[in-house]
Amino acid sequence: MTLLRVTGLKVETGGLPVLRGVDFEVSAGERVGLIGESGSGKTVAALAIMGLQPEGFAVQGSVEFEGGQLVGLSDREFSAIRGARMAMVFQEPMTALDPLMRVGQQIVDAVRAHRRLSRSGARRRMLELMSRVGFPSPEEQSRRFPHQLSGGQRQRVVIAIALACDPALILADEPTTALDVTVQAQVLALLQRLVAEEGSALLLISHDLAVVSSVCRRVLVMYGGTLVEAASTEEILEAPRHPYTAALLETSAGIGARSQLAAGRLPTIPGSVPSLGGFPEGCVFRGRCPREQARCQEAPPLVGDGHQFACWFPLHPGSASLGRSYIGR
Amino acid sequence: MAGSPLLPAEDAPDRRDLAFLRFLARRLVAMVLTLFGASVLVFTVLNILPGSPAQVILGTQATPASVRELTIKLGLNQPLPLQYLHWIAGLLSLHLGNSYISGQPIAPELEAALAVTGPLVALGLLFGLAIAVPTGILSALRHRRASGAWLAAATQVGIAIPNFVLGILLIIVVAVDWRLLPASGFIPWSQSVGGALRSLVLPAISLGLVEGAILSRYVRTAILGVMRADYLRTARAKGLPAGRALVRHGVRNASVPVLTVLGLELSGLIIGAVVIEAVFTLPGVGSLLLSSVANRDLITVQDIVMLVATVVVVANLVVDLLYRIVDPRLEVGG
Repeated sequence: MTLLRVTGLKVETGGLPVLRGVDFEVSAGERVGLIGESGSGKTVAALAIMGLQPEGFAVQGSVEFEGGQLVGLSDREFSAIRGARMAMVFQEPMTALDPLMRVGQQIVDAVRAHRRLSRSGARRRMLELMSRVGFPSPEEQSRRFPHQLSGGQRQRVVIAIALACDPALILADEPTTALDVTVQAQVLALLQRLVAEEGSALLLISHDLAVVSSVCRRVLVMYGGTLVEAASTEEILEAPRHPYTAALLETSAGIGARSQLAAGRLPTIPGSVPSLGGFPEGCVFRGRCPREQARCQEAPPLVGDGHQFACWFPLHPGSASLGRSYIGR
Repeated sequence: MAGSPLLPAEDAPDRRDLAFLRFLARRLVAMVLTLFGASVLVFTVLNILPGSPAQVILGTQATPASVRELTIKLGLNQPLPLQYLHWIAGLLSLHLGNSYISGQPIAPELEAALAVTGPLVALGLLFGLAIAVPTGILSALRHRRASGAWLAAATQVGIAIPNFVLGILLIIVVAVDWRLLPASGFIPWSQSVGGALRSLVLPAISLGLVEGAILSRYVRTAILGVMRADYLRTARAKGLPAGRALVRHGVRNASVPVLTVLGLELSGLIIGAVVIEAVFTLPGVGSLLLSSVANRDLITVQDIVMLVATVVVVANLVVDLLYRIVDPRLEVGG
């Protein structure tokens, strides 16, 4: 059952395209990864779905969620959905919480935003949430202020806020990026467990393929505000078709290119992500792509059944070596 | 402190109280030292200035002998450190001394002046806040629209108007043309509370408008800061509508920077009151200060300056204490 259907989602700011028409679906209970470098538009996509795009960002296209259209809803109409059916875990637990409010109260606010509960009822729910996200003594820890908690603990609070009203979809935007490596795995495992217990769908946004592949069954690869590839995690890891995906794989040290590391060199993708408005016409990866040809001046559509990719000259399926040879350039 | 998980995240309450007491003690000591420094400075500067009080009192026709006699009578022939100690000892036991000019005790005179200036500054502050908070919030909420830009521009103009010019303008329009409120003078509280208030309205507006315009800019910036804060986005992601989220998180967070400015503005208001009292011929502390300076009534000047210094220092302490109530991150340390 399709929970979220995004069609032709475009976001613009100041006449510059941030998202250039993105299509994807998330089924109920599904865990989908959205991956790409910084500046690829992942966060904006999530914020646009939530209707929380920054001021001056214009959203077009269609976002159907639980059968209803979200694009164009008023703030009040959106507020009834946000937090209740769809929730978000943010990247920076340092700043995502109000520094002047006790964390327990911030969770209570999330509960009471949608549930008509008494003060004590909301408090009970808050304590239950805190213990579910791994606070051993919620009673006492709920009285703390964000600065009195560690980064991992703060992110647990943010997760508790997201879970407060049992949402059908959780958008997690780089939920572990700001955390210590040792804490990352714990928080990721917690998120994965809770999502499974609740039966919520998860859209996990990350630049880290290792993170996404450990949690998600399906991966969307984004670059320059477009989806360049969408497939099951195994297919993405073992048989990427888009040159960008292949390059991304090579740079994930844990996954590809150990030979490169052995040679004392960290693999990189040549060039850097252009600034907004600096992307080329046609295929957005043009200019950084080793397989570029004349036809790439025309934007390739996202095609394919099951395994979708947007490239005129895709890599051959199953030839991961091609991806590796790419790095040798 | 970026809360490492190894640190005790929350101090026990009694330890926190102790930290607070230590903070308070430190601040009180600093306050006493500040006031001590201020008293030495004021005393030194005023006594270095040329012009002996005795000479001023007796006029230009006085004989040197009579001037010397009065100087001795006033105790001004004693060495300066002794004069200083004498003055300070008096202040500490709340004896402000006698005016060099009238020979009368200063305290009652100062008290009468305070009954004018105190309410004037308070009303000015209130009026300033009444302007600053709504315009600041509104111009922040509409910062992308023309109305917000106009509002911000209007506050800029408000900052640019000197308060005495505004005072004169108000006198001409409201008092002279419309005859709504008195143009000058003061009806004592004991005579008529309403009358006293009426004579303070225009001065308070002149005083408060400029301070309010300045404060409005800070309120705007503070609210804009909250509007762009990640925690506000979190609150909206919870499902709070934009307005409710802003009220829930904005009031406290925005009050931190506004409090700072408010503390500083208090001294601005007191200084402004000196000028405004002259414009409206109010018998307040400012007028007393000006006439005392003109008369070389040094001891009265010293007393007034010390009073103002004390008010400013205490106000800053109060602001610091309020900080600690508003912002839990300031619990420990100074």
